[in-house]
Amino acid sequence: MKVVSIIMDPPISERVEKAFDLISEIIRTDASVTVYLIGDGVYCGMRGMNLETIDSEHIQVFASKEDLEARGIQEDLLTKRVKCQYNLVEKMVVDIMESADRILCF
Amino acid sequence: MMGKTLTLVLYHGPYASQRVDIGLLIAEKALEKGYNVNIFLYMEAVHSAKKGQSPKYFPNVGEKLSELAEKGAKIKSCSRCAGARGYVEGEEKDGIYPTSQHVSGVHIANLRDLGYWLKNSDKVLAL
Repeated sequence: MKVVSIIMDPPISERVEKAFDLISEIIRTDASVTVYLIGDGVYCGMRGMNLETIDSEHIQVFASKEDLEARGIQEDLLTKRVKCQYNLVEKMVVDIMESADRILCF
Repeated sequence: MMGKTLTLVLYHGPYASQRVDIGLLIAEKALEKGYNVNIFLYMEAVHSAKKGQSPKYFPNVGEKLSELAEKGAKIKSCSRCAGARGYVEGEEKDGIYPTSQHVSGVHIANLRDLGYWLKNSDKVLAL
C-alpha cells in the first residue's frame, strides 16, 4: 500500500508531531510513505527536526523548492533524505491521482 | 465528464495560513493535468468566496476561485457554514441558496452535495 502525506504546518506543533508519529508507525508495516513538505511544512525537513529521527527505506520525502526559497532556507540546512523540487505540487497531484492508496493531510 | 475526479474539502479560512492557497494550487495543477476538480468550502473556508477581497500582500483567493471555476472546477460552499456567517440571503431553490456576496462561479449548496462528491470522486483531500 502506498500512502501520500502532505505536511503544511511547521514542526513543534501537535499536528506535526502526531503526523510523524503516525508515519513512523505506517512504515513499520508493508506500506510505503511519500511525504510532501509544502508551505510551512518545509521547516520539518530541516536538520534537527522531525524527519531526522525516521530512518527507513519505506519513506521518501520531497520539499517544495519555491516554498524553501520563500523562507530563505538553503538546501544544506535540510536532512539528506529530503529531495527539493520546483513545481512539486504538479508531481504530487499526479502521485495522488495515479499511485496513492491513502492520503493524509497535516 | 470522463476522467478521474479530485475533490478538495477546504475548511480553513483564507490569509491566516497558506492552506487555502495550497488547496487552490493543487486544484489548478489538477485541472492542468486534465483531472476533474471539485472544491467544497466548509466552515471558515466559506470566507474564501467573499466578493470584494483586496489583500495587500497575499494572493486574492476570491479571484483565484473564480478563475478555477472558469477553467472547469465545480465549487460549492456549505449552506450551514455560509448561513452562520451571514452569506445566505433567502430560501433554497433547486439546490442553490441565494447570495450577493460570493464571487462568480461559487454557489452556496447543501452539505449533501459534498456527500455525493465524496461518493463519486477518485481521490479526496481535506486540507
